[in-house]
Amino acid sequence: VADEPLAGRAPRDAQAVDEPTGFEAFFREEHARLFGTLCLVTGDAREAEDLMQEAFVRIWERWEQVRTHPDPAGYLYRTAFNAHRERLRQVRRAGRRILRAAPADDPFSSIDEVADVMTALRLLAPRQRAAIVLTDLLDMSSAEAAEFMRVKPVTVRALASAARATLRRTMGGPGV
Amino acid sequence: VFDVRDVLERTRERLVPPSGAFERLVVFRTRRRRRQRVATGLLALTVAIGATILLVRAFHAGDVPLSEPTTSPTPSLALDPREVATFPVGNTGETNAILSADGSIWVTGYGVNGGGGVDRAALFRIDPATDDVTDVFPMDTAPTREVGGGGVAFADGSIWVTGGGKPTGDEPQAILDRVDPSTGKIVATIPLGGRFGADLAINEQGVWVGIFTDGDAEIVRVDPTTNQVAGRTELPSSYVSHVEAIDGAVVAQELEWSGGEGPCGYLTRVDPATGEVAAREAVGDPCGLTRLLTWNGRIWSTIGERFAPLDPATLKPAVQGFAFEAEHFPRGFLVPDDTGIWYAAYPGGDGNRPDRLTRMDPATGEVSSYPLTLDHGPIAATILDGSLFALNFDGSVTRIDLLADGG
Repeated sequence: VADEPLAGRAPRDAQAVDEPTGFEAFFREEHARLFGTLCLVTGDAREAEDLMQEAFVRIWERWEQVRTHPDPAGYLYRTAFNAHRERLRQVRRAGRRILRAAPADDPFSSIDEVADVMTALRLLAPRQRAAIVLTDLLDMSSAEAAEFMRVKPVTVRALASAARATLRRTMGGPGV
Repeated sequence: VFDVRDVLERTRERLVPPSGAFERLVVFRTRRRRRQRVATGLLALTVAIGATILLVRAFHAGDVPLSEPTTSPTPSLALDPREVATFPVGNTGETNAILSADGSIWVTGYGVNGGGGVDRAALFRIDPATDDVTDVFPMDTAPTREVGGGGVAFADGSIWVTGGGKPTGDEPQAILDRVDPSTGKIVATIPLGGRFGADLAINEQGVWVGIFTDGDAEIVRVDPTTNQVAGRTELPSSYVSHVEAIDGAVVAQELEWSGGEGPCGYLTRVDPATGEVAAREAVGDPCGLTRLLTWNGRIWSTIGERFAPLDPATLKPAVQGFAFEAEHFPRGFLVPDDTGIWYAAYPGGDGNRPDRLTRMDPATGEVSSYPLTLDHGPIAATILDGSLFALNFDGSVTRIDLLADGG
């Protein structure tokens, strides 16, 4: 049944993570940060929400195990990045372009600073975006990021370095 | 120095997910599970088709009556549904309900330039003669469902809209807007308590609004003669999604999550005379959801892949009811008119193709599927003077004339 849930439901108390219904609290706690991170990685809000849904549904299906995991949020991000990698693989198989221009109805376009950053990020290769987000935003070591990306640490360092250089150049910040 | 981390962090903080993300996740998960169930069912059918046929025959020969004596709704009308027009109304993902009232079509939405409170809620009026949006009226609130309409009704000469709002000087809470359709003006804004209004229904005893907050859900009765709250019924769960009302019974669907499972629907009947919860019944075993619809003085329910009137006493199907065409159950909308109950039928397979326009005769269970696909993602619909107006996810409205020429 295509039922019709409600938008804007009030968030539950974060303590509810430990309750049987704690998945929803976990979702509400984590989804905004994950969404923002995935926007940066993909450069596309719709793609980010799709990936976020995919990751959360996978987590939900095994919530009983994840809720007792020492780092549920880490598990979530790993799941999201796995989904992202799978999707990139599918896109490559389908022979479609990975790098795209901003969608016509780009939700970021009305916010100048965000739009600038998103435009700059879209100039990066997908793996460069993933590398810079994992290392510079999520504070992962190159070894940790490499595990996420399933590449060698040295590759992560190279990708992130190239990404930083491109960002500095395109955003015109000092120290270029 | 250009600080990449700082730039990324500031950007991420400003990338806010669209509202209703959790609710969309619930829909996404439900659909995925359904697809998985359908795939599993198809496999089982392939293996055991012979046995299935025997079971189906035995099922239909059971003791439970198929239907009650009912006259088919105007079977003489010649039907030939065809899409006439699709025209823009609101923003993509930001329109949510549609109804016909006072000779016009009305659409609720938010994020509207010129809208009112709670993120610029508005009521669009559409002239059914020209398919033009003639007026946009600011509202205090808009319904909160994303699929299936709901949260609006027309009765006592007024349009009633419920959702979340912020009455002047008060805390955010569920509210009920009463609108005069002749002017589009809000004639009363009724604070209901709680946090969000989910759905409403109207009978002789008043306007019944399902509301919820974090941890509590209630049915609130509003007296339309005073525009005041006249009673409250606390529901057992913390979340109510649907409300239907007929004389002598108000039926709500509550949703519960338990043990990582859910949402699981529960039907709850409120006795309008006492305001007490008089019956409660789980939908499905162990967990299911239903669509509710009032038709011909009874509340009908989709349970599993069947459609049947509910016995208000037990909240179970009063009769065996009718099966939807296999794999083509309703999604999006489910609306009655004089010719039957129209719905957007699930296309089967992975669900990615457009829904098909379909009609069920609730007296006989006969299902008529029309060669007309609903290409714009219908989420709700209403019918006026032989035309079905489907509200689409992209904010447009598709007009489908149902009757054959001269019908």
